[in-house]
Amino acid sequence: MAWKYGSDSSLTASDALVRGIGLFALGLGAAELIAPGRFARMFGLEGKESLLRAYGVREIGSAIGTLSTDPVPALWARAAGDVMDLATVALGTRSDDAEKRRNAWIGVGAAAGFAALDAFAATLMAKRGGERPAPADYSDRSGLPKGVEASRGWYREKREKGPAVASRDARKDRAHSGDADPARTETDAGQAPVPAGVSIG
Amino acid sequence: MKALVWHGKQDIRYETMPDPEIEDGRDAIIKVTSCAICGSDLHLFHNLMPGMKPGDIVGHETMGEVVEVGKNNKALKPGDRIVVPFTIWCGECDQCRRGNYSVCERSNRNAKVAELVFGHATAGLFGYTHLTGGYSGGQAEYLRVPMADTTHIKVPDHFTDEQALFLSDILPTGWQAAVYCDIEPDDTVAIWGAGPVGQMAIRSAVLLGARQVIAIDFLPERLSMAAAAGAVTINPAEESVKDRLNELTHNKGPDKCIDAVGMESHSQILPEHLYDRTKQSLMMETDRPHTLREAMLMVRPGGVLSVPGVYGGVVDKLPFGAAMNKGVTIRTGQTHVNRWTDELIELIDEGVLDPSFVITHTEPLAKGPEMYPTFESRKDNCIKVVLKPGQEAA
Repeated sequence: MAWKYGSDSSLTASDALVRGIGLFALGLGAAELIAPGRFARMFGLEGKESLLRAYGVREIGSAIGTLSTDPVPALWARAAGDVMDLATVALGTRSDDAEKRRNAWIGVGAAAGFAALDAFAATLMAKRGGERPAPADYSDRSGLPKGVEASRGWYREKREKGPAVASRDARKDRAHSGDADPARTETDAGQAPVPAGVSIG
Repeated sequence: MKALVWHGKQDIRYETMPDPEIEDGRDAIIKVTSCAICGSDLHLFHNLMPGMKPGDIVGHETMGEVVEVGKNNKALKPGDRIVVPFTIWCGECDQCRRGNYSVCERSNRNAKVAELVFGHATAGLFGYTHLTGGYSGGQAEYLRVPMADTTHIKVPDHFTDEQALFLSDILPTGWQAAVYCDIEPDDTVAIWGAGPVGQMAIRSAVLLGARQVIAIDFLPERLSMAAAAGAVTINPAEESVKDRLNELTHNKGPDKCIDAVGMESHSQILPEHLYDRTKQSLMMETDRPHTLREAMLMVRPGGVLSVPGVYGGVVDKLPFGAAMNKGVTIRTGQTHVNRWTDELIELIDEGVLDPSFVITHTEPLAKGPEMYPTFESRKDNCIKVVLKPGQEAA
């Protein structure tokens, strides 16, 4: 089924972008963890395999955060991690091997690009759902038309004074009499017998 | 018909779906006039509840007008105006006879799957995973109501949709949470989460006579709504929940605690939050139980912990030793909606309670895909969204 973006779907282009970043990070992290030697040879970073492996763990951690329901902190963490990557890969630009130097410069460019992309995605996601305005004052919405103090214990008092709800007591009577599945009347439709012992209010 | 359809994480679409049809003699079809997005719909939106399939219609807070009934349904007729309880119940099984409608033994048509996850099956629910029957939900223009001769609430003619709609879920859920606390007049009731269910629980605790009600939430707009009903408010971002609760209860702890947050709670303690986030992301636990931990530790010895907040699977690092040694009574469960209908209708009818206070956004159904992220991110001061299938999108 085709994915749709826009007003007919809650999934926006920024959601899809973040999901892509998260999946990419997961793959990159796994690759760094499993095959750090290959990355070291590619970028002229021989001897730094342990560091690359640690970066793989960091990458997987940030991927988990990026794929969570609140990706913004993880995206900012990723942007910071990209800067670390950039600094590390930049060491390879001093390699004696021309191909490794070229790879390192490509890596520097890619890390800078990813840093910008992660920061851009973080900014987009922070705005998801619209800007947060000043908190509304809902202090006029009590939902208790008689007032709070007049309502305090209203139901308890009513119940203590007598049958609170006629139809409920009628249902209890039926339950006591063992008629647990009576033909329902117009007023009782949708209600079932409540047997003795069921706590109500 | 048009409906809001789940396609995956954070992907709810407004799509054309086949019109529902009568499948059983007890069924009814309603034309939906109002429906709402529930906090528990966000668990589906975040893909944290197992058992959803692309193409599922979501929504379980629904009301409308009956347009067709099955041949065996003598309780309803076309033209009746009904609220649809989110729990589907048969009215005939042993649990229904006990009033335990949310664990009806017959309405979950995927009971075998549910038994694998929950040990025993619970009732069928509308629009809420295939573990609970895989029934189409009510964020749609039309809804098939199975077992509709029992699964309905007839609405008094003089009630507006906004007064009646929440009889489907959040109002009885908040009420049940408070009733389960066995509130005494001297009680302090602490409620974590001032979302829609928490707001209803606050009003319920007041009506049941609690001397002091405390609301705990991060969002100032929610706390202002809680304070409107007389609640003392605590914002964990600004003060220590533990210190403030102890101060308000003379170091005894709240007599009754309500967890109206559930599986996606946030902790101010960063290592705890990162721990739960990581485990949840790695599917090593399904739920983040920070609120449950805090409430277990804070509740007064001999007190009650009532849990209306939705949990989906497994949690860990619960201080159950604290709960056991303090003799805490824990009561929980999906809401037995119709058990509470009579008294709630009475409260509304007598002008004691007006549940419409919680609505902050009313939009056409077509704007549903936009309203999910608005509700999710709590932006635009959004607390409760009502959707109207009959309205045109601007």
